[in-house]
Amino acid sequence: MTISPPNATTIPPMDGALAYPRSNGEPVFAAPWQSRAFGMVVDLHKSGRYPWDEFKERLIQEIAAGRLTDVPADASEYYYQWIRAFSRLLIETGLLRETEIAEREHEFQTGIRQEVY
Amino acid sequence: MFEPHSHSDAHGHHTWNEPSKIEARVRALESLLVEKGVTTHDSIDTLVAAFENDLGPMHGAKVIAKAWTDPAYRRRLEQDGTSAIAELGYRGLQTEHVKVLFNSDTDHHVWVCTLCSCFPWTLLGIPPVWFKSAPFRAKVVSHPRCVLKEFGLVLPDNVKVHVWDTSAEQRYLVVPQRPAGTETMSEEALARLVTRDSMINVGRALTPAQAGGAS
Repeated sequence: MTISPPNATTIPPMDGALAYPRSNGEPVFAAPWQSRAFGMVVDLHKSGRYPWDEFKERLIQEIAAGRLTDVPADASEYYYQWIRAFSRLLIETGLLRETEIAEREHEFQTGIRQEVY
Repeated sequence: MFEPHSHSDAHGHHTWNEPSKIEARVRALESLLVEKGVTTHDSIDTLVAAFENDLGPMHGAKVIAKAWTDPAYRRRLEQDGTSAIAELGYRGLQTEHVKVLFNSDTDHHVWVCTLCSCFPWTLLGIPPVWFKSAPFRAKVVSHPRCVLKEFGLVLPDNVKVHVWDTSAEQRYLVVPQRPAGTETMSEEALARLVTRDSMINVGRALTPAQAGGAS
């Protein structure tokens, strides 16, 4: 997995490390957590936990509710919206409870749990 | 169940660094889902690797190369993109309802997702970072020629630029123009000239010389 350079999150200007070579091998995730976020959503869909549209509709809602025009040109906004949509989906389908997510998040935030996936 | 999972040595799991809030959230979700048996770390690893390595842009490139070399296939792509793409075994997740657009000397097609970031992953891999950025999404609609120029693609004035807005119901794949000097190349060799950017279409397919120099 490749971490993209800091200037790879903004356009324009279309120069710097982002500009080229725009080969097929361009990094696809800006940070490891984004690939985990991506992997979880697709994995659970593939194993039949929800139809893809259930996730997709929530992502569209999150993006529509978000700041389409006034955000800094930071592509990682996309995966924040992705995670908000996924969290809602997990809670609304009953796979996880809001309280247990908050508790577990706190454990990772404070170092009670230190696993890195 | 709680063994540190060494996804990559670069993560440095030997020393603990306070994660950002979003990192903590993502780890919490993965931790809980694995604990409840909904998924496994390995399953997520495999999936991420598949999208990074196996399901990348080359699937789309094979569709393009076949369109360049097989007139009957090209006609099928024109008539029903989804079915013609499925002939090559690419179907499902995010590849439903694909309309295939053909660039020519007079028409240049570009597509974007202005609403979110719909992207046919199984054909093109994960969306590039710039594709998802708000400035790109806004500007490619209002000033397409200007954006193309920033990508290094200057089109003559007589070429009409068409901008297509992709959605959950309608996705696009652009067949770029076949580069000159490739008449004798095999389908497989041609596929290597097709970049992801040329299928979105902020770029052209590479010339054989460029492909040789880039690899």
